[in-house]
Amino acid sequence: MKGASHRGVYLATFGALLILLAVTVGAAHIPLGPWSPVAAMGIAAVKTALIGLVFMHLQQETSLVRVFSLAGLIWLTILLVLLASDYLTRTGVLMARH
Amino acid sequence: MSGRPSHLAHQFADAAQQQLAAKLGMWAFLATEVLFFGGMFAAYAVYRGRYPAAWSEASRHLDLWLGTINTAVLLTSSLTMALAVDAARTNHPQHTMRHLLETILLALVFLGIKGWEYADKWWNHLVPGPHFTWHGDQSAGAAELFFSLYFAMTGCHAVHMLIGVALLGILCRQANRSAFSTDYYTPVEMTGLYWHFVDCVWVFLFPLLYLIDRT
Repeated sequence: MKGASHRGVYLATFGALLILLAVTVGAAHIPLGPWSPVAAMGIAAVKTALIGLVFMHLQQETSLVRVFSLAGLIWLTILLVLLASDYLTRTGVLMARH
Repeated sequence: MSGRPSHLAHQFADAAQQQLAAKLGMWAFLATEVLFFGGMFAAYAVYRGRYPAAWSEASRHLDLWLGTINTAVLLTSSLTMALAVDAARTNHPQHTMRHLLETILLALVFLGIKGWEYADKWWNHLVPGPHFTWHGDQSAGAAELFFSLYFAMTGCHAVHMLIGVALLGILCRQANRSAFSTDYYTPVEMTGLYWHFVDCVWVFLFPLLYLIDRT
């Protein structure tokens, strides 16, 4: 972790994040139907990956630190999958109401 | 104890072990934070699935421009935070100080804009409670639910930012006393991890709240 500065990499990452912000705002104005939230979450996931790998140094970390960084996401996945297994398998519970 | 640097706590064999312990502890804490916000994201998923039309109508009452500007402000603060850690690691204390102050300034801009948005919701009776009034075509109850989650999620996020600003203030004092160098900059790095995490939360909040349907 010591040694040369990574300013250039950080500035390039920042540029990519701003472009992705523009893309996500643009995508929300296109009628994508059910793919709209998929696109929005996909772009957010890419942005988070960039922030994690570059700004949070996960690219250079040991595998132990990387495993720790994934722990929260794994438990969050369990939470959302079990939630979906409940709400998506009962007719009427997640049906759209107006 | 000769040759042992003052920043090395006695329970660690060397500075590298101490730094690794700090990182693992910080990432374990961030895992609990993911789950803290995760519960609200789960509630969001259930009710957006249940009231899609009312939520997309309610979402359009949020100011897209202010949300976009605030996202850019927060991403910029992540850049300045990363540069502060970089400057500390490469032994440039003045730059560390400057980038920390930039990060605080950007955080205050974000919170100012957020406060402005909250005030706007207050005057337009969009704060859930006895004064909530809804003139849309869709169910008022579902719209109120959207705004409840909007305030809960952005409110928890804003509290995290306030804590971050306080931590950055402490770092500025330490940086001012030349506490950090290439050999020891763990507090700057850990605060950086926290700051970037808070940024990541907003990266998801922004499209989920502001961009449900803008077509």
